[in-house]
Amino acid sequence: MKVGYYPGCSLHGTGKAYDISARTAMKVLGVMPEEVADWSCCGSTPAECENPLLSTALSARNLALAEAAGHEFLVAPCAACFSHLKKAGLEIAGNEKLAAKIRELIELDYQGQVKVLNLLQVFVDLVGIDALRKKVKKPLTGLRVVTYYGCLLVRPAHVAGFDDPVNPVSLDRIMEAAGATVLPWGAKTDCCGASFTMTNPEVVAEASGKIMLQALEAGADLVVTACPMCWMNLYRGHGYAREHFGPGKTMPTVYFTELLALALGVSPRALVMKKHLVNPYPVLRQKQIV
Amino acid sequence: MKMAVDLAREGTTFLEQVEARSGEKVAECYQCGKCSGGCPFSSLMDIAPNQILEMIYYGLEEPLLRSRAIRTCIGCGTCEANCPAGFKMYRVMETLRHLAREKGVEPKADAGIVSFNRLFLDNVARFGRLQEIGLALEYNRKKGQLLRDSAMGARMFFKGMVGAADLFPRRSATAAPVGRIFRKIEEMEGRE
Repeated sequence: MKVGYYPGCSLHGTGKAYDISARTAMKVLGVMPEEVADWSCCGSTPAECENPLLSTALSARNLALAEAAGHEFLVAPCAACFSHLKKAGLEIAGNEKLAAKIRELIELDYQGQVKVLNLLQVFVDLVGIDALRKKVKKPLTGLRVVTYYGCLLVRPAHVAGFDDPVNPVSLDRIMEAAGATVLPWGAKTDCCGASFTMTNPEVVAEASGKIMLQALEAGADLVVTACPMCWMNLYRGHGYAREHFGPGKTMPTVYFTELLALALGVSPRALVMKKHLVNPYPVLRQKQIV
Repeated sequence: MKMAVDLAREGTTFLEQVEARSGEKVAECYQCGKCSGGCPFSSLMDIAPNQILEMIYYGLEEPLLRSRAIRTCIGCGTCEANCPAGFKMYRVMETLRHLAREKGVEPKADAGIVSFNRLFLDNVARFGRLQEIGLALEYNRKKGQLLRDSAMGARMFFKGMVGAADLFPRRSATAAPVGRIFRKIEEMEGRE
């Protein structure tokens, strides 16, 4: 099946490894992502903080483009893009006055026909865990992971409309189906510090550092994430953990789609795992996954 | 006989304004403090979320609209997940930010958050898609701390995560329609 694909700014920039692995894993499972032509930035947290109308308009423009291209689903791998696109759709639905204003701003028609999905929903709802498990060629046997969801994938709950806002399990199910051992831990939905990475990096380092510490205490080999911003911030946390808890007190963070693609039999060379700030190859080699 | 004192009409107090716009019953909060306990950024705030609710109740509008706290909330929704009454505290924060903006109240100190937000939006208005590296460099240059993230930047460059092209941002085809959204909103708000 075909789905609309909204990479968002990060996946065209620092999150290339997520973009490549997400497209690859979807294709192997028969979901064909078609990038929405001419997509633009969703406005993210800055637009939402500064001007609600701007925030809705910037996101709605992309919904309208996906609708015009005839897509039923619009997939947004970035947790923040997913949240803002979906929120814009919810705000416009049933508010004809706002809808008219938005149409005037974006110079496009929009009927509210597109369903925004995050990437976890693609694998859990569109593909299905059982179908996914059947396609696994190289199970991630022996790899111990903790699943990190962060905030916007599951909260605010009425926006995400998906899984549980405090103890989500969809990513756990995906990783288990890929053959990994998913460990219980308490930082699944803790905040990484998000957009404070520029303005208050020390706050981000501490918030993410504590997440890394919990991953260590859980005994994980890797942290698995589904958001390019979380991934970046966990790198700051990586430095913090080393500084405060001693050398060796850290571990790589990878995108869940990278591990999924490996489990589906994709060659590591087709991915760009070497671009990670903390190299995951040593642990993946040790577990004979690459 | 006409009353000499002009009592505030219903629906016009600060509490009622915030309740009407946020859709949250601020007066019903029973101050358990779990919103502040769970908030990842309450340590960055000058006023804690539960105190904000109490201050709204007492009509302390000016210090709230000037506070750093309302600009610190990023709407992650942890407050709602923690609240035993299912209260959407982040909606209240959002409402306060919008009131501050409409009334032209500038923050007393914002730890760079508001200026970062504006630089981010300028970048989107110019390029249509955010140029991450360009934004990071511009923010650090404006703050006079160009070398702050240099180690991380160098590592990204070395690892091939970012390239020389990222230092010279390009306008995408979407820059024009996105720029028009920004301009039209300015015009709309000028009319109101």
